[in-house]
Amino acid sequence: MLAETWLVAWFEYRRHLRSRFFWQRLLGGALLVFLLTALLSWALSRFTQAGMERAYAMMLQFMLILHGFAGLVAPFLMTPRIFSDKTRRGETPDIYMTALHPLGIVLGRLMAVGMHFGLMLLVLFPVGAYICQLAGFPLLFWVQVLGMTWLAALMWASLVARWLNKYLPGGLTPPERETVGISYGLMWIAAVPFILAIQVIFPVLGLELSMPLMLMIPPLIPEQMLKVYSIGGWALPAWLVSLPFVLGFTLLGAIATAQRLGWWSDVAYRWQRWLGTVLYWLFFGVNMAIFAGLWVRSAAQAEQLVFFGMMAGAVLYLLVVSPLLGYYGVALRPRHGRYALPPPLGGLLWEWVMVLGIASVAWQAVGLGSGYWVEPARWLAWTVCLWSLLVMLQSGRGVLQMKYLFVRDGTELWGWGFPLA
Amino acid sequence: MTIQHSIATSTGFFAELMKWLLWLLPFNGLSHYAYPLWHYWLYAAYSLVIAGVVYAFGYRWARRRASEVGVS
Repeated sequence: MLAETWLVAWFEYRRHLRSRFFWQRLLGGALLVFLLTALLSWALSRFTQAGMERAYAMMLQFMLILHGFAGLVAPFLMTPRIFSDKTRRGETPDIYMTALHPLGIVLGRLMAVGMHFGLMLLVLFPVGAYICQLAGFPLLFWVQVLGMTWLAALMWASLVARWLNKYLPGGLTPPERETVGISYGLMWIAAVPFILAIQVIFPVLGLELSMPLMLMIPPLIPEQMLKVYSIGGWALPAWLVSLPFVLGFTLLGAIATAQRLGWWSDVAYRWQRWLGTVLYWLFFGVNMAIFAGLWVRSAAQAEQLVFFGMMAGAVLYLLVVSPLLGYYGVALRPRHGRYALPPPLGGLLWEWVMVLGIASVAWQAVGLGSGYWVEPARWLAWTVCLWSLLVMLQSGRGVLQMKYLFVRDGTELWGWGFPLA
Repeated sequence: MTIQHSIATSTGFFAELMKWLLWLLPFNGLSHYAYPLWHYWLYAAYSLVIAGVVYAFGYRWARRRASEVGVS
């Protein structure tokens, strides 16, 4: 598998990265960042007099996240390009006809995205090292930040590959994939004010906000890297808590993509579903508990957090995590396995268990994290309400999916219902 | 007082209906978590009834659509 991964990564490197075009853009972009840094450090030098400490600190915090914005955009632009089988000269689906394992192909392509982003980080390394020297951080800290940024970008690449594979199967033409890549990248612009608030303004004002989720968002990593969480009496560095989740979601995305690209393994499917469910519950619970420990100071705040946490956890599951878990939710497969309920019932029950788990984990995590326990009757009413909302959503999706089950030859596979199903 | 708060504090059939519609937008700024408990049970019942209607009519629609395409 390693040899196959390397072979595909090298193939994709030669296809996309070993070109004058790429290196011109890379070095040109780096030059722009160098100039911007020079400009910002000149501005910084104007803030050194007494009374300007806050402005100085905010400026320094801002300079630390310059490379992180590349991490927001680069994997989103590069993944559709590398994972798409259509090129200007024709198609390359022949790669699936070779003896290469589909998982090897997916991992190799992820590695190519990683090479692309790694080269960007390498070129920008001097900027970061200079800013670290200004801020008084050791160089090792910066190496750790870049390592975590690289892994987080790889996780996003894995998720984008899976979304494309699920919602736009069959590959995209070059103009289409530019559009998709730019849209995913632009999506992050909505997050920029939050990122600036959390990374630049909060630490200077002494407000603490930290969750393992934040170590998955590249510009937030420099600020979050030094945090320490105390979990069950253990003091663990934030990056160590976040790392298994980043690796887990990357691998889950790669396996889910490979399953759709012709590799089918019942064993992998079963583990993907079970371990994926538990991984998501754990991830959600750890985030909720840490957030609750930092922010909840009254019973009313605990109620608010459990309620909105349940909703947010369910939405995150439906939009982001469910594509990673195999045939979860309304099942599409024509024949069901042994000891399994027939579709769509089996899939529906899995989703009910997932959402009930999210509700229980939210209640438990906020209770353990803050010491304030929400009244069980209130929690039960919310949970039943959340479950009924899910059932309402499932009924619509189930009807559309049933149509696919009846229409076996796939004539109407891409009807108007596809964004919902 | 915002429109949302005036809706949240008023009573009557239409106000309740509006509250339920707002409920469907989870992050609209209302204090949903603080409603009296019976609201949540009522909303659950609404949602289940809608799900039943969608499922009952949708099943027939899916069957009919499939037979129109010629494969069922």
